[in-house]
Amino acid sequence: MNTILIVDDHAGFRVQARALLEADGFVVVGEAHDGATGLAAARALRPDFVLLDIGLPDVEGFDVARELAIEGPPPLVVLTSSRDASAFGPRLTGGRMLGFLPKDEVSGAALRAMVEVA
Amino acid sequence: MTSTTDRTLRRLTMVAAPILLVASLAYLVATEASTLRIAINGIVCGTYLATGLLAWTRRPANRTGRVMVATGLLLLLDPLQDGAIPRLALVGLIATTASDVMLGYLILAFPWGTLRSGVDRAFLTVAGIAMLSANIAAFAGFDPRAAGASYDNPFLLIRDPAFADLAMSISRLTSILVLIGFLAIFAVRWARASGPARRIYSPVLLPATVLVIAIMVATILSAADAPDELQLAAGVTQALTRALIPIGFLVGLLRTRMARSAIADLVVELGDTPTPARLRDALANALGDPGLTVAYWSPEAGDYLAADGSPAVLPSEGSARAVTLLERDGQPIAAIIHDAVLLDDPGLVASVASAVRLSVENDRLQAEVEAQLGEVRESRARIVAAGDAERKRVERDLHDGAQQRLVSLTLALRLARLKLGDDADPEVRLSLEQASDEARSALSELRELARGIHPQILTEAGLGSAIESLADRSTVDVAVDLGTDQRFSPAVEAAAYFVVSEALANVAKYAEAKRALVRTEWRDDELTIEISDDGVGGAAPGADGGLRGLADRLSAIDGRLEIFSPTGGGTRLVAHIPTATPAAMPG
Repeated sequence: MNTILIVDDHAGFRVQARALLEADGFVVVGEAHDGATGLAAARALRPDFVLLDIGLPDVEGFDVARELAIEGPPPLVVLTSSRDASAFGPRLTGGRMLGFLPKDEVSGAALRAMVEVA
Repeated sequence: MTSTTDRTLRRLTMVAAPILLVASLAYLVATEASTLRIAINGIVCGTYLATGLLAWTRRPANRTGRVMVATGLLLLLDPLQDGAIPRLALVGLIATTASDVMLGYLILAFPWGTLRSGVDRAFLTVAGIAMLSANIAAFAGFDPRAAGASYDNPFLLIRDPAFADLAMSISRLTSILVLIGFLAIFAVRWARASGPARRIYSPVLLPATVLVIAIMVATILSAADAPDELQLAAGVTQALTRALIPIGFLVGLLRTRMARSAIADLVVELGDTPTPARLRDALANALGDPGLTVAYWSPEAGDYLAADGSPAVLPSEGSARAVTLLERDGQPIAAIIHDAVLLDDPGLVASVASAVRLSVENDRLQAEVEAQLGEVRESRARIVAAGDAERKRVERDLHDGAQQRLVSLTLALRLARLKLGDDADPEVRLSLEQASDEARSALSELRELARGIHPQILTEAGLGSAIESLADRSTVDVAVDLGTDQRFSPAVEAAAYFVVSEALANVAKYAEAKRALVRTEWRDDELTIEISDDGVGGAAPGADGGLRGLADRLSAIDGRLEIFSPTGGGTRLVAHIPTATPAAMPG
């Protein structure tokens, strides 16, 4: 339970998130810059986690999460955004996702805490 | 005739007529005529002269007054026929015949003051010549001595009782034929006349008909050698009916004046911007023409349109209907289609036209103001929509720019802290941790600012979620009762959101409330948002306060804000927002 795929269009964020997660013992198996490549990577790499940006250039992170949930066994999806949770309201609850983390709070510890709560 | 000579002549007549009337009556007195004869002559001549002078003064352009005065003056010579001054008897006869022809002219020329049809002119000419010839012929064979009188006829040319009888019979027959001709013309005119035309004809045409019949009866009685009493009665009736004609003219004049006062009413009535139907009714009433219609000029159609919007058919020249066009600055406004006979009093139609012009002008100004108001409304809605779009763009810019950078900075600081390890200089470690906290505070404040500029959740999840999020963040305990989870246009959602946002901010700041309730309801294409609290009340929309701004924002999308805030009784704001107005959907 430590492989993770990062899907985000900001290369800078991908670098920082990879460093932070790897520092906490996660293995970043891949990175994708939009929804389509993210979906393809998830199918090919079968990571335990997907850190998924909501504001992707082609589709919304919500759409990617829904696609991933259809194909089993689904990875644990953690949505992220530089906005905070209050910008999305009920869209973040329900669905087959582990939860939401604002980008500035992304860390391996936060991810593991979410798994424990769930 | 110039107006100056006309006036001089009129003044002269005004002085001369009474003198001549007195002279005529004095002649009758001198010739020992009966009191009845004197009285009747006085009444008949006086009526013609007085009425004629009045009409002449009032309507100098209309020939009626002058002709009537002339008729009266000629009638003054009628007593000369009695033969007291034998040589003047012929003058009396010719004058009386001429006055009859003039009376015929007056009646046929009414109300125009001039003969309009060739038939009328031909008839009157033939009748005049025939009567004059027949009367003169009869006079040429008239022997007063044979009739028991005590004077001679100086113009007695043919001293033959057979000729005298024949000439008298021909004269009477001519009279009867002429009178029948008049009756026929009257009948045709009446039958062809429309309602308003009959109204105008009747005061003259009715007494004229009676007069013609009275003359016929008198002529027949005289021919039949009826008893003197009967002949006298017929003569008196005839004379008095003759006096009725000028009175009929007076009534006609009065009716025109009444019509003018009806127009004064019309102006008053049209004052409060009448509907086309009311305008038409008022006009029909004022002009006494029930068939009157009004057509409005449509610049789009380039044509006059009837009240139902179909192209109006304007009457052609010479038809029984006439059209009066109303223009303003050379631009057509409307057309009044009315009975052609109304044109005979141009003043009347002109008064009506100016009354209508006034009203239509009012309507036009009203329509212009309303159009401008509509434009202002639309532009206000556009300004609000543009403001909303701008807020959205600024929020987006903050998100893409400063917010991303602060996120990146926060993560970089955390990475630096990680790489530093736990055995690094504690001061450096502390500085890094402080910097990290500062960055996160800045990010949090920036998010708050961005939310105030444009609530992303409104776009993301709709009004209900946005309201719940506002309630969650409020420092007061806010209950939310959502009556709808419908999505609306961005303008409606933004307006509703800012109502709740401002109201809850006020609750927290001023109301000293423990609890507040936000309720939404969507029914009959109207979204109602109600925010109530149990605070101190006394809220009022100041000139530039937040509530005033909310009311403005709402009215920009045709909504309204109600404020119930009795002192000590809590505050209740109710916003009503139409959700089906096109203006509320600017894109």
